[in-house]
Amino acid sequence: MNTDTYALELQQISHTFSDRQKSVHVLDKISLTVNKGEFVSLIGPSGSGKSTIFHMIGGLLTPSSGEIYINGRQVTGEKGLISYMPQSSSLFPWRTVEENVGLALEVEGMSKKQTLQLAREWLPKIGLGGYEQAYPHMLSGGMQQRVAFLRALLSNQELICLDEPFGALDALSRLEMQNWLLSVWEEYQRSVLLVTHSIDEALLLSDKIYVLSDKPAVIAKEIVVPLERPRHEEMMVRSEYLQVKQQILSLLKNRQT
Amino acid sequence: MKKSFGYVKAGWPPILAVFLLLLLWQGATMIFQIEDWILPSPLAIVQEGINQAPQLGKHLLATLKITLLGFAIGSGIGLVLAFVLHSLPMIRRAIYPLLIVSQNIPTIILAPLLMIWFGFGLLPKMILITLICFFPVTLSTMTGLAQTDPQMKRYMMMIGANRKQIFWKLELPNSLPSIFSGLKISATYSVMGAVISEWLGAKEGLGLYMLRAQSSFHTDRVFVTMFIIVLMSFAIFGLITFIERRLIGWRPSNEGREGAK
Repeated sequence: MNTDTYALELQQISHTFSDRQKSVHVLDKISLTVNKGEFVSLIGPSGSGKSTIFHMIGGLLTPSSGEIYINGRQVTGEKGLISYMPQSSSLFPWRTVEENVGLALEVEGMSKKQTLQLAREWLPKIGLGGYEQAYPHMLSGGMQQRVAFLRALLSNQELICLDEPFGALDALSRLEMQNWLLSVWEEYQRSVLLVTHSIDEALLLSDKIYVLSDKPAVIAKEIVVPLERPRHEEMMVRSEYLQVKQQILSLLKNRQT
Repeated sequence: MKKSFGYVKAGWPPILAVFLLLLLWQGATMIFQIEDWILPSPLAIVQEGINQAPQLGKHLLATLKITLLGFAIGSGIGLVLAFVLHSLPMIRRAIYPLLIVSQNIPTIILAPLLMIWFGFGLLPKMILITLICFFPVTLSTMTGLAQTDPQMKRYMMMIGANRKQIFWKLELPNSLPSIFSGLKISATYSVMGAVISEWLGAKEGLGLYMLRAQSSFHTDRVFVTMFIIVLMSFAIFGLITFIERRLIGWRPSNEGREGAK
């Protein structure tokens, strides 16, 4: 197996949180891979340790055992190798939209002038032309998430980690944003790892889905989504779509009881 | 248009109140024939102020100079101290109680000691104003720095920002509103500190002028100085509010704007 082909690989990641009183085993031998240019989702019940996995990939947390590889290099515990979009947009309220878009690049060491130039070039492409000088509080929740996504997209890192990016939006904006993300991603194919608890979101967007079980989390199943690209909403009523959806649902149910 | 009208609307009750108070004061001194050395009338104070204007200018400048210098040094030290204590929790725990103790020593007791140790020059005055000034800035800055949104901080860590970047790009801008409320308090304190330091030994300054006026029972001049000091405090306060608005233009509502005079 040639690990170079993977944008991200987790090998046998286990983790136990422990303090003086007790220890909680949260992750058990999690292994997963994201190919270059592949869209992968991680789905599981809330509290199943999805965020823990992300914090490990980001290097904020070192797993009790197991290893993380990015582009074939062992990077367990290393920071600054991924681009990230959190659930709350985490835009800085004192920065304008264009300054927010440039933030990740600034942290990577690009000059502010260059980041602003890039931001101005890109904002119209995601339907936010004219909002360059606006402050985040003037934008709707969906627009804020677009800004946060662009911030992640422009980052020079190969892998984008999306942590329930639309979890805080209402159902309608959520669907709209999923379609938007789909079109942007299909245009600029990057390696994506998406954490979500919406089965539809995972199915519509991903090439591959990992279903997590509850405490301690193990990979219950790896599913390759049987839908061709480009994707569109109408696929959500196809029989193979519904079959896979049924399969994931029962997996999540079984494990919870 | 609408905005200036709003200011007039908001401004008239306090102006009217002050005006009525002055009227009452003027009336009382006239009706009860109060002696000038006990309580001069507002008109007499204005008259004396005009007469004294040439001498007052010199004293005003002297006091303004040590106020601004002391405020700059004091709040500068306050800011740096807050940054240091914020990044070094161990030292914070060690020093914090000491800081609070330093604020419980009354200035008026501390001042003579400083004169004994450092004489009557600029140094003891600067030390006194600094001791009065730094604390509100340190406290509010530390509070502001500690109130950083944990999600934003986690975001910065996830994308690999180092401590320096987290401080300059997230924690510092986030704490600007707090820093400014500390600066405003310190600004008013610094004027008071300057005057007190002049009481204890100075060649010129409003404090000295006030002391002389008091010992010769020129009560009207004491009042003149008092009003000048109040106006000076207001002016510095206004200047800081102005800078604050320039720097924190992003705030969504009008909150914190009614402080301006």
